Amino acid sequence: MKKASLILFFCLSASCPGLFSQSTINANFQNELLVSVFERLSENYHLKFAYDNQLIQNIRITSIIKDLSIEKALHEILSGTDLIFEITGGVIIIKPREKSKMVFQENSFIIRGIIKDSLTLESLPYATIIDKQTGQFVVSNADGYFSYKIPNTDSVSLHISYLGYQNLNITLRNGQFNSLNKVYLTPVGMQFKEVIVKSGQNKPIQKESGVSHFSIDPIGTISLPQIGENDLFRSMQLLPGISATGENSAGLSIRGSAPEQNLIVFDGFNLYHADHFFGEFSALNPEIIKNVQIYKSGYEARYGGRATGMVLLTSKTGNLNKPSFNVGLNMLSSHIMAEFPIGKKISFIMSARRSYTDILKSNVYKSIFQSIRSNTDETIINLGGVYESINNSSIPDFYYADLNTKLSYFPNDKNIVTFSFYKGLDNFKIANEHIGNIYSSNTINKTNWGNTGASIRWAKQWNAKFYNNISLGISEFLNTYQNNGSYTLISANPYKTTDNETNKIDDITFNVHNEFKVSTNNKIEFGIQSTNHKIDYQQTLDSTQSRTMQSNGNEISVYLQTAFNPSQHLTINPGIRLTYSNIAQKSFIEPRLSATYFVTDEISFKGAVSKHTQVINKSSFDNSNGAYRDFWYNANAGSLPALTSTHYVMGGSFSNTFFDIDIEGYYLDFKGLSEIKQNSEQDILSINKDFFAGNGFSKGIDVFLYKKTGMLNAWACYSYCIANNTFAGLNNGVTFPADNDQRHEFKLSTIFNYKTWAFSAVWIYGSGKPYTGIDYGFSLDIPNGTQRFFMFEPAQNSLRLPDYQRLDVSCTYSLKGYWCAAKIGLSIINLYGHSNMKSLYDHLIKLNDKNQSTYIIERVNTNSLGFTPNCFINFTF
Amino acid sequence: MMSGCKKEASPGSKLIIQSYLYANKRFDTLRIAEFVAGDIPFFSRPVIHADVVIETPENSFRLTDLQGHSGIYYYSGSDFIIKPGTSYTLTVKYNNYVIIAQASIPAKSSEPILLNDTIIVTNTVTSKNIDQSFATLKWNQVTDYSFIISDYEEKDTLPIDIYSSINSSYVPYYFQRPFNGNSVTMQMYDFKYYGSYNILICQVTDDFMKLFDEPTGTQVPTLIQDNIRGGYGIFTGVYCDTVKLKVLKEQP
Repeated sequence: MKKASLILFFCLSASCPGLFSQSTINANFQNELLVSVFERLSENYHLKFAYDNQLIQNIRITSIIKDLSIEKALHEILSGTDLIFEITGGVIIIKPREKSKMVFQENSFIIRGIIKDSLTLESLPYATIIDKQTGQFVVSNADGYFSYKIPNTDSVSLHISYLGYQNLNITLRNGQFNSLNKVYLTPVGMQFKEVIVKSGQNKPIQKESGVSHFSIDPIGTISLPQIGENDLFRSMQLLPGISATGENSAGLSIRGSAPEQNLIVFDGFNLYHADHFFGEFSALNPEIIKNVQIYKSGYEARYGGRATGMVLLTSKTGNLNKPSFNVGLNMLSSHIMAEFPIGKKISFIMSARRSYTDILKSNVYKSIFQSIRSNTDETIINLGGVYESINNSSIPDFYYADLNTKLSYFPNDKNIVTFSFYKGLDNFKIANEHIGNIYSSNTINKTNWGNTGASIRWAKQWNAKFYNNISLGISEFLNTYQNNGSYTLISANPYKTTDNETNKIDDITFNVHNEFKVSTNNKIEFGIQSTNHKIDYQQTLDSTQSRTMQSNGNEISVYLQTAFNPSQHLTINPGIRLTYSNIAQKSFIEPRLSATYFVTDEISFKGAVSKHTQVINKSSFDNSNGAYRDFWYNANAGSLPALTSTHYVMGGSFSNTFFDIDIEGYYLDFKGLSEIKQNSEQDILSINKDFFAGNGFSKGIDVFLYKKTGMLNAWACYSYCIANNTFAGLNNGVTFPADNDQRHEFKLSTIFNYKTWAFSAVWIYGSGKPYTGIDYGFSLDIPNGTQRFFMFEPAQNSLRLPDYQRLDVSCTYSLKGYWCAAKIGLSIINLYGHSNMKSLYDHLIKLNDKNQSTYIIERVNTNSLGFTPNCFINFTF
Repeated sequence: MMSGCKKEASPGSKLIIQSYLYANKRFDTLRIAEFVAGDIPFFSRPVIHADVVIETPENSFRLTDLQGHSGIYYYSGSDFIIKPGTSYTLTVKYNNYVIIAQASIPAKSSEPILLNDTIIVTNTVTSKNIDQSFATLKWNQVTDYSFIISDYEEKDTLPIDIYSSINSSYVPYYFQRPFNGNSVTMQMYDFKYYGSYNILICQVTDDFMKLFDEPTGTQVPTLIQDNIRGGYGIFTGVYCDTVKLKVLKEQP
């Protein structure tokens, strides 16, 4: 160090002898030059610095200092550099750190870090860290930790990206390699005093580098057109291979699969029937969600339990920096979210949402409710898996609500403990009155349904090589149905009935996940997962009939997977998962293999082969009142086998600064599909007698084009799919289209950002989905004066609904004041009011004639939403 | 979904017939209809101007189309009496369709006996009046299945509803569908009005029973009657015997 270049910075004020031990520092540095940092500290805290200008030039600091002593603050500030400090005679001397002796292996280092939000200090899961020299990349884990092995070098330049955040380029120097590097990313738009969304940064979705893997930024989806509520499931349906024409958020149909074949995990616990408003909205408040990962097929061995896809939702941990609040209002509901630190190591976040549809029935509510209704007098609606027929002239009392809380404890940089709780509820009540010639009746139907879940999780980054995560999650889905009836025959006393049903699923999941960094290009992950599924269905009809189905099954899985790079161009992810079900009395081996070959930095080819097992499944049956009930069941060792699937995926990607293009072809083979025999009159559903099993497959191509820069951010998806099932006891054993077989689907989504405005449009087109319907029918008179009806069905699902299409548009305005920020939005669903048919079935009606009775088959259809405007406003402060 | 519906594979033929041959009665009628396809599936429409003949080994009866486009065919003479134990063959020719159906008439009466010909409707059933609260009907089983019809006799008078004392809309199984047996016990709950009833005990065949096959165990039941070729429907013989029953209000 040249003495001549040493500049001593002396404070003009007199130094205070007790300053270093008494003062605390509060400061926020965002990508600020280190020299500027020292200047600010000198000015605000009367500190004296001595340093070599050449040593600190071009070093930028992003750090938030809150109530730290000067020593701790300096440690924090310099933690991302190869500098250290020394206090001598009241002067802080900045000098280079000695070369690290923490050499992990000869000629190599492991750098490690944690990615955080610069404003809230929340960890950011699944961020991408790219080595700019080699092009190799790693992904931060669920807690934001990453580690990366580099050869012996003086510095490494990293490019760090996370959906919804400003990209960041950092350079780590030798000397920083052995410490935990905290990397702070700033949310898009928040680095400016005014909210200005830079072009290309407002990306609600992202194609990840793995096979069939996407992620979603919940904040980014706010700009998309919304049907009443900002709905993550609707946003997921804008991805290729996930059907959007069902207009239903009760589940996802991925690559022709049934929704129950896709696992939804929220903070470590499973969700069932995760919907509000008869399936119109998902039951998850997007305000609380930090990260969404979607795996459509061929995913790694650590995930299992369903035969097709999986959605991982991670909630926010809460603001560790300062309290913040968010309130919002739309034409269906209002919500509030509060997040605040408790001390320096605990954050708490709470979010609550409730519709006011039971108090005020807005036009949006009426439009949505109208879209649920059929074209006839009565409509069958989905009350959380209970399909009830209601009179179209009746208006139910209905509301939905959900609550999320999460407490996160960060005892130090290596440990995270979180407790998460969720409760969603739909409450439905309808009164029907009938006055007839024979009898009159008054009935009241009360149905409540929803999920409750909680999880506790402890994660620790033990060292640069080892990380583990232990979690315990419990989940309960409960549907309670009660129908009280009072029937009065003419001139008689009322006859009262009470029907009760409960449909309950309890899950307890224990999970231990471990990650071990073996070498530069090799990581091993292994763990164990145990889930107990307890199912309890009880039905009592007027105390005279009852039906029960109960089962209690354990599913235990162990897995091992690794990721390694045999060459700079090739990444291979082999893995294996072993699952044992005590009810099925069987073990299942699920090998997984995926690989990506990078031909150039822009072009890659990929493929995956994997086996998956699902030991809990869903079906429905007629409850003998003409209504249907969904219920889940455990696979057994008899006629109800576990559902197994084999995924084959192959494709290629092109990605540069401006565009992403991704094409995948897939073939999913299913064995052990189950159907329940209808009209089963058993009191106790007999698993062995009332079900029959079959097989199926889906195959197709998903195409994804993404324009990711410029003022216009747009993506287009095309999916071609064939999904067929074969059951020996159905359709004479002939293969037929599955319910979610949809040959073509095209979706175009655009977001145009201009200063504080975001304009968005989504156009969806889908070819018709199958239905069975009726070809012909006739009636025969019976000598006792009654009639019997006979109908001829065409082959199963051989008819098709009309093609589907709609255009949604929205406009969002963002503004930021001194103490709060706000978003105001207007959405119009189905701008040109195209009439779309959601469902169709046929039934007989009788036309009276003087000479005879004529019967026709009435076609009952439920149409989708027509032209529906909606607005919202959100405040954050 | 309607209760009592049956589902079939798509029909090869488009004609449906319906006729019941009541033993010892004049031939009643035959109804013929055809399926018509359309955007909204039409249930059926009457068939007119069909060539219809019913034959026995000894006789042949040509049916006439009832005016009014009703699809109903009758026999204009008075000599077509259905004989017990006889087999009848129906031939229908219409456009390019030909239906041939056969029906065997049960051979003899079941000789029913009503052990108690009056049911007294009471508010409270006690040990004293319990014997009057039901009536047992017995018969000889000629065919495998019997079907009981309750026919209210006092149709010309304003019926008096008995629901004021009996709260039930329950209809017993033997008034709903054929069953295998030779006796039933009828109770006051089984009747709607006070008054006189003709109780018909009808011997029916497997063809008739098949109308009541519920689609249990499989989602695609078949209604392809063994005795009908080239079409669908019912053409069957029925032998009915009648007994009389009174349902009276308890006198104070």
